Amino acid sequence: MKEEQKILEGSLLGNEENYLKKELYDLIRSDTSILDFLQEAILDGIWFWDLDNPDNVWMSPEYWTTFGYDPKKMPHKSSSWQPIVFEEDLKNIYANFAAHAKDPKIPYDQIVRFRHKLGHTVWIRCRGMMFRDADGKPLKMLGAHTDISKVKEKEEELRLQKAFFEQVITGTNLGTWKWNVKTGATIFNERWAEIIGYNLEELEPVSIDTWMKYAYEKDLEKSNKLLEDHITGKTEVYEYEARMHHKNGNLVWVLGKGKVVSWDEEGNPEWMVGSHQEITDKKKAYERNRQFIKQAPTAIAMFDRNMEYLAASEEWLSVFNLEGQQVLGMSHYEVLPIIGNKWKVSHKKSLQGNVIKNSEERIEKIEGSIQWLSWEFRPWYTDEDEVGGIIIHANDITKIKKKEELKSLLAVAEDQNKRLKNFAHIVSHNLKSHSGNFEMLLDLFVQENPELKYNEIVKLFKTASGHLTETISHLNEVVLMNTSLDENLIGLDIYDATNKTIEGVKAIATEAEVEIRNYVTPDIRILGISAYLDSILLNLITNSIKYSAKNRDSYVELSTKIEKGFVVLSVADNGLGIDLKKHRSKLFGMYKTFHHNKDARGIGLFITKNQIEAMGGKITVKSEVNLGTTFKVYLRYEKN
Amino acid sequence: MKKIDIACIIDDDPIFIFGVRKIMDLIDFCKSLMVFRDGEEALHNLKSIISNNEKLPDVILLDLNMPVLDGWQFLDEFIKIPCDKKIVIYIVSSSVDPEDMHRAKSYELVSDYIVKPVTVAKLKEVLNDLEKAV
Repeated sequence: MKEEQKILEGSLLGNEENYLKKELYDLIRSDTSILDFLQEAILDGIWFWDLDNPDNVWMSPEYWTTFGYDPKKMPHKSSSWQPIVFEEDLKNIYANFAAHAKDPKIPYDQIVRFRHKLGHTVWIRCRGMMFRDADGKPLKMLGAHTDISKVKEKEEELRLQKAFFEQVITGTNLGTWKWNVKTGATIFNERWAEIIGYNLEELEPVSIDTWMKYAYEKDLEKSNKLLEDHITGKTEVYEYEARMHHKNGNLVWVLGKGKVVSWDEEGNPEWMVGSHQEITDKKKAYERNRQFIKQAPTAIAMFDRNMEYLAASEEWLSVFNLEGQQVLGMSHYEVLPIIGNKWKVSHKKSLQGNVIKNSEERIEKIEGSIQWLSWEFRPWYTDEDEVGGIIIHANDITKIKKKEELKSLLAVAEDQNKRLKNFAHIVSHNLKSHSGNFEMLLDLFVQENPELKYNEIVKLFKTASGHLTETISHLNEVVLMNTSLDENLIGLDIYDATNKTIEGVKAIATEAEVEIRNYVTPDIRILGISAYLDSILLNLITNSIKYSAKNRDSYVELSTKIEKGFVVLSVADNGLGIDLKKHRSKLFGMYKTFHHNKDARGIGLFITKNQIEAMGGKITVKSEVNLGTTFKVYLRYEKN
Repeated sequence: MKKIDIACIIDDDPIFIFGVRKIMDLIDFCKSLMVFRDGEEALHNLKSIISNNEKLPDVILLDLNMPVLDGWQFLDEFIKIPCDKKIVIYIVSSSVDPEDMHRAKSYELVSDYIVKPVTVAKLKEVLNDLEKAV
């Protein structure tokens, strides 16, 4: 073994004379059949040319059979071979011959095309060596032919294929890349660079890092994931859409497609090839659609065939509580895991080309609230007229539904109001006429029977009848008040109104020894109803008089100020006061009295409050037992 | 003092009629009294009095809330009847609705609006007014 290896190495190196070579050479020298064998087995013809008699040339039989001729019929003359050589190549032959004759260092080695007898071209590699005399003058020349037509055919085929692909690539304006996954060696074509505004020279030195450098970071992440899927065999083709940084600072969109085309001995991917197609315009058009959908004032979303979001309107995100979430590219089912099978079936039907609608769908949300939706699924079609996905249009009709509910509530309220009015009517007419009759009959009875005037029962009868009449009249006031309301508010001079009321209560004020101080600013007008204003003033002032403290000098003080569109009328006294801790909640209620005063009606403040509110105002109170009470009445300022 | 010749009550409430009749007796309100139980009956009878040229009442106490023809409907029909005699009409009602009071004022024939219950004092006042007017 060791010896063999040595021999092999020696012959490879060619610098050590091998005994077998010597023996073979000796054999060739003694036995010409060996040479015949060699030239037949290795070569496709040899020739030997006499340069002194250039017309004489010997050609081996293989020489002629290669070109389809019968060697027996071909004379050993130069005129035999010359006509079947391509004319241009013949010129080359002479030129090369001349060069070799002049300088033996220039090898005679060329490719010559011969015309086969059947008409096709035979490609021959033709090598030659010259024999010279002692002075170096050429005497004879030996030549050897090798038929390289097969290689040439393949070469031509390849050339054509290459031309074809080059044409396709330039024609479709494709950028191309080749990448050696193992070594990182990368080759781009000019167009690849041109897409991002450069030429290849500017991008030097080119490597896979060039792609990493110009790809948009976020998209690179995605494409790397897709690349991994392809390399690990999950996908047939590596296909990606990515933005790249253009020389001018903009981002351009490319559609990339690639494939592993060779593997190493261990089955690891070696070379990948692929293309880049610029799709910025398409993406922009798509982006415009996306923007259009995004801004649509209704809940709308566009999905691809996998129910992944292509676009969604703000309203959509709001209806489904997805505000601020990144949904594009995500599956609808991933975004809203609560979507049930019923919907999925409908989506599928729509993806088959059906339009599906529902005008009212009740949805119970996880947190328990109810949402009403009307929706529509509609397929959209690609340029190839295939369903590209669906568009879902949904409308949150919860508000409308609520309005409907409110309407029915309103109808109930209206109905109740009507009944209340009927009740008011009954109070106003029927009850009143009955109690009126009572009063009248009692009067007559006493007049006819004067001796019974001081009968205890009759007296109590009269009192009861009087209270009944009074109660009915109070109820009547309350009922009437709510029927008028604020349409007919007019400008009223509050100073005039207070003066008039004070004039009216002068007598009782003097009797109760209460001083009335009027600090109301003249010429202030409020918006109100005259009778209400009078009633309010009368009520508050007489209250102050009624509940004055007997053990000190009593007063009622009226004043006004203007505050944020309201005239604030303050009625302050130093009277008995009210325990607000106990009574605040029922102060303005009906039939509440807080003092054991014989005149306490218990309805005055209720009516006052309602009258103030009917005029668009409000009333507040501050009071301390045995110190006094201040009511503040907010009335609408006319100037406002 | 000139007494009222004929007074007329148009009201569907027998208690009211009873009471008013009593009060009228007490204060010697009138010589005779006509009573109708609703607007229709009143209109029908008053019409025939006019056409027969009989004596018409000097004063009418008219209730508003009545069956068949109510007070308003009676008024609307009654003012259409041509009549030489001046008849004073008082509306006597339990209603304190300002709308009713306001509406009453729109009839020239209606001289006042009396809120029930009717008392001796109120009727005396009416009597005084009538005597002054005559």
